[in-house]
Amino acid sequence: MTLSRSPSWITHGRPQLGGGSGSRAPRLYQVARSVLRYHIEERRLPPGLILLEGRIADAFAMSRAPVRRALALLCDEDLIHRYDGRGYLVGPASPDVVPRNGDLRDFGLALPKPVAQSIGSFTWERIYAEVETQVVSCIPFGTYRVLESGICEHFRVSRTVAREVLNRLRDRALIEKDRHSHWIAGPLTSRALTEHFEMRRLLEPAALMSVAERLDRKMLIGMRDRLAEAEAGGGVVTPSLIDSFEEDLHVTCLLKAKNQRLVTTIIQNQLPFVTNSLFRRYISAESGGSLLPEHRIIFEHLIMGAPRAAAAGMVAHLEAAQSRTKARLKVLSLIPEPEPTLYLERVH
Amino acid sequence: MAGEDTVLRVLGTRETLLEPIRQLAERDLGLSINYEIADGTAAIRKAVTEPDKYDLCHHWHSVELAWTARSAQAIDLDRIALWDEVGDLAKTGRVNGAGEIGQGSVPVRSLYVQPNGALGAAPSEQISSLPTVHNVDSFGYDPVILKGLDDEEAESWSWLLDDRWRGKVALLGEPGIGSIDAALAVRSSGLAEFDDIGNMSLEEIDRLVEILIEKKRAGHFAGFWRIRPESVRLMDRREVVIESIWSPAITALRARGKKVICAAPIEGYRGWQCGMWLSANAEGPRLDASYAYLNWWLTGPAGAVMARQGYYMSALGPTNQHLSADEWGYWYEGKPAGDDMADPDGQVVVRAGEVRDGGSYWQRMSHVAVWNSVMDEHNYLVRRWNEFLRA
Repeated sequence: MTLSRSPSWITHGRPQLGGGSGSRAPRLYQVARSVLRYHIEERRLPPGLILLEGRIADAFAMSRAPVRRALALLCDEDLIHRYDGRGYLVGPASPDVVPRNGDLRDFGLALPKPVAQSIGSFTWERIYAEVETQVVSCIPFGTYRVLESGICEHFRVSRTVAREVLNRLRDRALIEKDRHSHWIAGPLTSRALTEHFEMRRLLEPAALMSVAERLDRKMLIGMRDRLAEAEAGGGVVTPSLIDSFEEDLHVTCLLKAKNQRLVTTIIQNQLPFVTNSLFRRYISAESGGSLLPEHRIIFEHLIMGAPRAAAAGMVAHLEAAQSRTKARLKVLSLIPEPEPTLYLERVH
Repeated sequence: MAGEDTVLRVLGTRETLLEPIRQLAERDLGLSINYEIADGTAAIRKAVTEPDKYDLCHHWHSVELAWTARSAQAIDLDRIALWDEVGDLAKTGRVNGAGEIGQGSVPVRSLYVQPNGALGAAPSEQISSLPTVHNVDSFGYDPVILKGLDDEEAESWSWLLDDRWRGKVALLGEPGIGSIDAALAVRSSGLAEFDDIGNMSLEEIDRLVEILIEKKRAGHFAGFWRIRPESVRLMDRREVVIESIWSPAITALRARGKKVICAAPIEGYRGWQCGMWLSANAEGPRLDASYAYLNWWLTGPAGAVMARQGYYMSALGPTNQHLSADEWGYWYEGKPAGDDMADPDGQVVVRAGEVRDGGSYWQRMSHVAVWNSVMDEHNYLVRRWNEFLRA
């Protein structure tokens, strides 16, 4: 099959709960947010009414994660405020507000019918990014079983949808079946990183040579100039800028290869990006360091029409990246394990 | 120069952040110094992830982690006046150019900053951390177990897994070095082979954890200690008769009148070297104060205090000048003590006539089987080790 979308850990940088997209339809948290905002602005939900994540999720027949995100955003807008650690109260914070309990449905809180129907006909795309992000975030911490039933329960989706999500994760080599036919994710080990990098050193220089002639010169110059600019600025760049540099070279350029088997295998071996994303998220938003000149030299060669030299630059870059990534994996040992979810069960 | 209101913030563990040293440094440097003591993983986590919270960090084997996280900044050797006094072990990995270099993270291999920004053993003008105290660790045992030994049975790491003392054994619970002690014990017992105990493979880690869990379920271990006072308590209350142990725990037990033998295992010791790194955030007066403190550590007084709890100092010459001839003879040269000797707190821990277990500095430090290590599969090891502790 063809994997058209680039992996979320590249395109979205830091993995976040509910991060990433993959669907043109409105995201669930956006639906929850706009429905709640409408009810608050129309004063259908009175000031002081207690808003609890679980009850809203029930009223909307959706999982808690999008509701949590919607509430946090409404709080940022000052439409609701934090209440005693238990949830939120409708309206801005004020000493005059009296907290009041009530069944949200009594206040007419419900999803508009078409939205409710579209949620009922959930597609795998809606939840894929969140599941992938969670799986990717946990694999440095051990071996996990990914539960189909847990996905159904957590997202309130059918088994067909859950299976579709699991198949996509398998296509990206993020999970595999063990001998008991359980879906297993992780562990992300130093050996796994070494193996992925060995594959990348075989595949990516070859892919680069195969696409070199077809790469747009203006695009290459633009990519080179952005790197040169970052270097001139002292090499200190934001994590999202580093992500975009990685995407320029390893996704935008390489995935133009015509050989779809090659493209699929490349994507399946870009897992090391996970380590770097988690490192930036938990430990340190790094500076660009030697990544910038390593990338730039590859573009210089492409622009000069020297694909073999560009491929050699790619080998050198991947060798350096391997030792950086393995060093970062060691540092991740300092991070406590993430909280379990309904669909990720720790094996060891 | 450091401003008068600069308070130097030093992070570390209780083994090196001793109050007598802090007072001596304040007196000699005219600085205010704050010691923040943290333990084990918490200390490393803070040191690596919060460089804005301290200026200097005394560490055991974690400079590589701090360097990767860019939490440490390079130390310029032209600002370390007594660098020439730092001994061979720190600069080459061997004492007097002799002896086995040992497996694992040999400290010199992460000492010098290389032209590409990585750390390596090739000398350069900058270092990642200033080598200070070092020593070899093994296990300690109550002389009572001598009764259960065969004639001329040599001290061996295998004793930690020996059924003769089942239920009376404790291990160090900290994953990074506790696992090395355990692997030395497993290998010496003939239960598993390891290509390199300082860099175990996934299969070796799995096998190690399996063996340990089996032993744990059979009631072999009385406990796992994380901080030194726990190891002292376990031995003092006779809850254990043999355990992984650090030198200051031996002196603490001796101060209480309890005799504990520090083993010199035939397989070799686990070696370690402590150093100090500069926080990436230290600058201006804090940076100047940090350099003053780094230099002061090489001048002798700190090395003398450290010697009295059994630790060796990288600057041997200046340390020698701050110890009595008798103290130098006992702690460094392996000679019988001419008189009673006190620990850093002033309590008598060595009686006249006693000889240090394992012999002289050169004998002990040239018998390192493996160094404290941060292995390639460190992350996996930590997770599996914690599983063993939970089992």
